[in-house]
Amino acid sequence: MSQKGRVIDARALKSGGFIRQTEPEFFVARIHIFGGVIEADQIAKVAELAKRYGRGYCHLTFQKSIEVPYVKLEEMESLKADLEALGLGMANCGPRVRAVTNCQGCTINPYGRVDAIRLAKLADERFFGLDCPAKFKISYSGCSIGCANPQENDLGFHGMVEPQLIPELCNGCTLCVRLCQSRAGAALIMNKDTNLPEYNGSRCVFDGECIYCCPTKAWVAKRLGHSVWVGGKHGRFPRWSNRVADFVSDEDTLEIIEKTVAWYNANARRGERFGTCIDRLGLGKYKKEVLGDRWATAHNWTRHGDRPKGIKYQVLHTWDRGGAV
Amino acid sequence: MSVLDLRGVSCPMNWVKTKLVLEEMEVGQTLEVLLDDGEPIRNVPRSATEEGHKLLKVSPEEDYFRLLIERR
Repeated sequence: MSQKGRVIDARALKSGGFIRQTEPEFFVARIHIFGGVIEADQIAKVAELAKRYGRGYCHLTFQKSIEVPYVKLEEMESLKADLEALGLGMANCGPRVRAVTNCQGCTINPYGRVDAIRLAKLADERFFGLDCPAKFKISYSGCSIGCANPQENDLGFHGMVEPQLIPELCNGCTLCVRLCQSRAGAALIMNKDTNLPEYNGSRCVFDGECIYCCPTKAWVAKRLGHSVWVGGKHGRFPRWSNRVADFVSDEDTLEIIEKTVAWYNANARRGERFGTCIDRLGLGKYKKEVLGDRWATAHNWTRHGDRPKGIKYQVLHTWDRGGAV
Repeated sequence: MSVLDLRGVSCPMNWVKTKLVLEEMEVGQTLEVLLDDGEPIRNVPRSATEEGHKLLKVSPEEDYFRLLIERR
């Protein structure tokens, strides 16, 4: 059906979760899924709606939204109302805070250190849809494996844990030393005299592998928190994000998002991604004005991601070096 | 003491096989398991201790590990 004569404000539709398709008479309805979790009943109903309004299939986006393609313009409002009745809202597109992404965190994954689902939901409820100079993506990962790609989001968090040894419980099995994921395993060395592992915090990657693998539970968590990464993006000019703070509490991650989005709006040019803005103004300015003294600076080897000082590494691409500091 | 050679057996089948053998054993008996480096040595000891068995010893050999598990 032709839409001739009708004025379509594509921009307004995008913020409301309807994106124009290649074929101009059709729109993709993008459904917002908080924390990547949807009730079985809801997803069954979404399937029905995809048959009724679309062409009987859904598409899963990289931001964990569910899309129903081939929705007709005149049926958009009706679909939206049906979704609202299910307790589902529309996701978005364009220059604003996008759906917050996450992994399953400690709820499901025994390796997870923090509750990524809960935090992503909280952040989504508070910040989703806020207007920005360009798109702004936030992600939460449960551990430093970072399955929700913290290094490629405008603002990324991943759980981290500082281990501590209870020597009386250790039976000297050496498993933690063997499995340590730090570079060359340098964070844990077996002391032959004491028959205990020796911990070197400056080499630690804080993934908690030692806590995870210990058969006698001799390794425990001393500190838990989030690592904060800013300015990452992919696309035409990918940018690896900068790690700016460590061991930030759950609540403080939300405050960092709030302050960062405000800073981004106050400092970036229209259409400028956060990482590009950081490169133009300097990471120091952002750190000073948003993080201040309150959030401890990350490890001194954080400038190049996780590469410890003094250890040679291969530069894969020029952009692999992170932004200007 | 029985020995279970699980070199070349990948996760999670190596744990399944270990578990089946452990279930046939009496409490207090020990089982020696040979495991590859990497994922197997990362996961099998953890699975065993999580189910209440006791890990008595981990001895690294050239390119594999020798594990001593006590049935609990």
